[in-house]
Amino acid sequence: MNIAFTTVLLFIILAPGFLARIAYNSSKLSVADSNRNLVNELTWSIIPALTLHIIFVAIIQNATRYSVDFVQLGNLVLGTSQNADARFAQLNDYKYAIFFYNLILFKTSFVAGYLLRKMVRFFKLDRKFRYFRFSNKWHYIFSGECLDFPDVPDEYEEITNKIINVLCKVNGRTVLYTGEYFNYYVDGKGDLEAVHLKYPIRRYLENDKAGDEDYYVISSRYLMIPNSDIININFKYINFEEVDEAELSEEEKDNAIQLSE
Amino acid sequence: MLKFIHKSGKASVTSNPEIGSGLVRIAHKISAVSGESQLVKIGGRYFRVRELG
Repeated sequence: MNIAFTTVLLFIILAPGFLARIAYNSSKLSVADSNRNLVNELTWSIIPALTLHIIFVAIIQNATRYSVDFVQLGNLVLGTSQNADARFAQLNDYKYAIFFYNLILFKTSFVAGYLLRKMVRFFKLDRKFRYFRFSNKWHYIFSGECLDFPDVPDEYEEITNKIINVLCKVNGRTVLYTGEYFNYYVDGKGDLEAVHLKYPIRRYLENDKAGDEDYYVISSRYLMIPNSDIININFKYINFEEVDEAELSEEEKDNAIQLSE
Repeated sequence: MLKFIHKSGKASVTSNPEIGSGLVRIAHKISAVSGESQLVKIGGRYFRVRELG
C-alpha cells in the first residue's frame, strides 16, 4: 500500500467532520477565512468527525449484525503491507455495507452541521457568547443583532428601522449619504464591498450644523455605495411606532420634530 | 387602511415610501443622547421614535 491510499482513507475518515463544518458555515453569517487551507480544515474536522464516527459505530454495532474491524482499519491506515491481498479481499466482501455506512454518515454529518447552526441561531448563542459568534462581523452590525451582545442596552427585537450615515470622499469633497438600510455586500474574504441604501439623501460635510435645506434628496429609491468611497459608517438603530393623534396633547404636537416647510 | 409598521419579533420594514423617506430626512434631528422616545411628525402622522443601543 502506498501513502496515497492512506491519504484517501484518512480523508474519508475525516470527511464527516469536514462536511459538518461546511454545512455549519454555509450561510451569510460565515465568510471565508484566508488563513484556512485544506489541511487546516481537515485538522479542525478531527473532533466532529470522531464524534460522528463514535455515534455511528455504536449504532451499527448495537443495532445491526455488522461490526467495525478496527484491527483491519488500523492496518489500512498504517499502510501495513503484510497480508494486503487478504485485507482487500475482506474489504471487497463488505464493500456495499462500507459504502452505505459512509453515504449515510456523510449525509447525516451535513444535516448535523446545518441543524447545529440553526440551533445556535435559535437560542441566540452567537449573540450571547463570543465563542459561538460567526465570522461575518458585518452581519451583526448591519442587522443590529449587536444590540444583544452582553452589556449593550436595548434589544434587537425592538429595532423597527435602521438608518445609516455613510461618509464618503467624492471628487475630493466629503459627502454624507443618509438612507434606510437595505442591504450590504461582502467579498470572499469577508471585507465590506458595498452598502445599499433606501430613500437616499446627501449633503456636503463642510457645514456640520446643517439644516434640512442642506440635504439633497437623491431622485431614486435605492443607492449603492462602493466600499472604496467609504470613510466611515454611522448606524442608528431605531424604534419607530405610530401614535394616535387623539392621544397627544396640543403641546406635544407643537413640539413634535418635523421637517422644515 | 395600510398598516406599514408592525413588530413581529424582527425588524419591520417601512413600506410606505413617504414615511420611509421622511424618517430618513428627519433622522439627524433625533437625539442619540436621550434614551427617551421623541415625537416626530411625518406626512401628517405622528410617531414615537427612540434610538436604541
